[in-house]
Amino acid sequence: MPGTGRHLAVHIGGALAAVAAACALPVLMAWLLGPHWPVLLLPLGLAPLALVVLFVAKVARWMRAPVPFRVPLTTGQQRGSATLPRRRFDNPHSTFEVVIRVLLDVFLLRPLFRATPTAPRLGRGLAHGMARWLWLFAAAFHGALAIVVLRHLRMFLQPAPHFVAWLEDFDVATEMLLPKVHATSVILLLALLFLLGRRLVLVRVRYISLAADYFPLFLLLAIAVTGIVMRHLTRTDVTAVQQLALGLAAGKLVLPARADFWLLAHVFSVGTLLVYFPLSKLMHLPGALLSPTLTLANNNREQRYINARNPQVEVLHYADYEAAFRDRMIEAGLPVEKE
Amino acid sequence: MAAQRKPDQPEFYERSTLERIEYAPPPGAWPRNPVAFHHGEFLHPAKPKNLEALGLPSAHAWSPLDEDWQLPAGWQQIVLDGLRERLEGSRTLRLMMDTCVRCGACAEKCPFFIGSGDPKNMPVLRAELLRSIYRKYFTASGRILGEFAGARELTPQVIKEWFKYFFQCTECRRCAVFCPYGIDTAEFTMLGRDLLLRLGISANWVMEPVANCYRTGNHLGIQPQGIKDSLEFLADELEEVTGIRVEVPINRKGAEILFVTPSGDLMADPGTYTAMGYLALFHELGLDYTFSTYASEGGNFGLFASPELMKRLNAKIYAEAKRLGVKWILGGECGHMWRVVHQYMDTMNGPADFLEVPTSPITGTRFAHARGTKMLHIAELTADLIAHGRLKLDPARNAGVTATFHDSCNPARAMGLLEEPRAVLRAVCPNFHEMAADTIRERTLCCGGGAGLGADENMEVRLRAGMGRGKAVAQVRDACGVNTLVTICAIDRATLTTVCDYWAPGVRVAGLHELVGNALVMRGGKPRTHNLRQEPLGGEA
Repeated sequence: MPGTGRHLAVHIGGALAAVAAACALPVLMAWLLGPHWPVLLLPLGLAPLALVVLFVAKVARWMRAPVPFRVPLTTGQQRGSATLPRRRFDNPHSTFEVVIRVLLDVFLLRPLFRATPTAPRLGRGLAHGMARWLWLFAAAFHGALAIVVLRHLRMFLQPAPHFVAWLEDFDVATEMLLPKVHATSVILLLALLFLLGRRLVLVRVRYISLAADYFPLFLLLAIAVTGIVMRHLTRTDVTAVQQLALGLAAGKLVLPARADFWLLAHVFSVGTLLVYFPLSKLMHLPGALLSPTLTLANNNREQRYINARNPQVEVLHYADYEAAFRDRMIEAGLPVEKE
Repeated sequence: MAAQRKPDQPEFYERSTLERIEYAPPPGAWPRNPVAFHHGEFLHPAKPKNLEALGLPSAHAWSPLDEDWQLPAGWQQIVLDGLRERLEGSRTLRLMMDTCVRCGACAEKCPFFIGSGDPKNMPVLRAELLRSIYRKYFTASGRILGEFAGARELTPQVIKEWFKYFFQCTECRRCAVFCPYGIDTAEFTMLGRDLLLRLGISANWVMEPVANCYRTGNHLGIQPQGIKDSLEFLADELEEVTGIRVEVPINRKGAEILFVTPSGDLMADPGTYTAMGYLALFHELGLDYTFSTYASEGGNFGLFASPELMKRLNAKIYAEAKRLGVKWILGGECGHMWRVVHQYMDTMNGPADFLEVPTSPITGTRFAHARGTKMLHIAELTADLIAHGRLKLDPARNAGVTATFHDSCNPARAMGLLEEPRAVLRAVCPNFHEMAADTIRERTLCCGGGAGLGADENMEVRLRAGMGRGKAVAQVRDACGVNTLVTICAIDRATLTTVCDYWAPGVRVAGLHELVGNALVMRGGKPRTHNLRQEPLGGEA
């Protein structure tokens, strides 16, 4: 089987081992530390700080380099003639149109939605990357993750913002239909499993996959599973956790009575994610919003784009050209500068 | 006869062989899978004289089939210094290095992958060929974790891989349409070729046109008197058909418009018929224009080599417009020329503040969307004339033509010039059918020969990359009786002729303004009995 063997073992095995360590080490440490387990909160507290510092550093590194040319990708009719129907949000011309294009392409993943089989039934056996299923599950994953992250604001803000309650109402509604089950939890898990399964099942995608592709999936699965277990299965003292978090936000230490191993695994894998985020491909979040092909207006022939590092180059000037060919130009009756 | 066929001839390849494609990747991990070359899939190396003519370093003789490519001393440092320079100079590249998640949505969108099944032709993997080196030498994780972090050493094997796969990409941007971050493989191909060029590694089919263009003003190396001869010859041919003698102004100071078109239009069929269409149209409009011999090339193979070479060639257009004192510039039918004109020219060689906003002398339309660059596409001019009813046309003369339209990659995905040529085509040709929706407009497929790949020695690659387009053409040929593929690119006119002969026999390739020239009713002259190819009207099929 292509893409299996040592390569797959190294990359999947390494990723799995790293996630297992992220979950198990804090639990082991807490068990060893016994009543001194709150010491672990110290390195954990540094994770958000690392995220901010590394994130800013990475984006700053990007921004230091200029965009040398204005190279928008056009996926529809340009603005030219007044009589021809243009596609404003495929070929944006103004800032407003660029914003809408970015909303469509980045937030609604429109490029993935474009995936249709390539007519006319090209090469036999050419599968299509599960076409729009990737769009569906990628969108579901990002949406569910966003809702879950926002719902966690309740842990840090008292009173929680209104939209948090609104998001909760949505899940409470599904809970009435299916007790003990949150729609977002199920969607998040299914989407993660799809993304992982697709990577493993499609040989082409498996062939290109690295540990850096498996690790975030395994890590998010660990976060989701530990979270779901705490929310729905164990009797984790959520109020105590909230008191701790709110206290920390206010600069006070309100410790829970005991260390909860599920909780430790959960928060330490989240901590790992926070530190890993700015060092990895997860930076596609700010990266997509900065992508020159998507975020620049296609007004090239209207407004000059300046590249501060426009290099000086050697050019063959007309005078030298004419000097080389003057006799032949005169003979052919072509006008020349110097007779 | 079969024994005499060579890998640079389409007849060498059995259709059934090319169609039998293994899409599953080979066993093993890609960074360790060796790269090999066989005849029919690689371009001839750039001749040292062409690199020397441009003052480029490390010119040397080598062959892809050699074990040792005679890389210059310190070659690794040259590559890494070059990579650092480009990364520091381009946020575009930095983002495209860092943000890819390897979702593989691009994989089967690439015409080269569709036609070959070679996993390194998946856009994501083509980019990883470079990213793996970037990670090894420019990221902490790659330095420390090596292969586990997707990093690898820069070895001669990597250089060979780059030469193979960055010359199996036409920079067509189809992959980018399906990428959620808009990652554009063209950027990687340009970077890879630029780094290779620093080692004296390039394709002759790219570097000879660049060297020619630098010296003579055009890719084909035509000297000024040759340009005149070619244009006069086309005027003679046009006179045969129309009975009208058109003037061909060259290097004329004080003209209103400088006309720039790819030199291929002047020299090679079927581009010459398109050029005859231009001459007929300009004559009938009474356009105050001039050709230039110094800026006798619209195309720019520098784009396929390095940004500096692109700038060196492109500089001639504005310089010549200034010398001749024209008001604005009109550009002919060409694909990558318009990528350069639209997205690079003003930034590199502008501002063109000595020119005026292009304004149609016939309709008075002021083309405000070109008010910076001051350069207009001929399809925009003609579409505007047609919209104002200012062209007298007899589409019945094209009744023997059943046309379909191939969107050239650059005008489609780097400009959005989609409807203008269609509006013109509908006006001049009564029978027009679109190809399948996912093979046209922004999703258009590949001619297989752009970005310097249009040679003969890499025929297998061209036929494979053109397979998708060829089959889409065959589909409308069979369903609608299409016999002509219309396109607005000089490279297309040359390379798609080969693709159609192979995958869609019976369909030929024509430029848009060839059909305009056929349909154009001109004052004076004689009744038309023949088209611009001097075939009896109606006898095209």
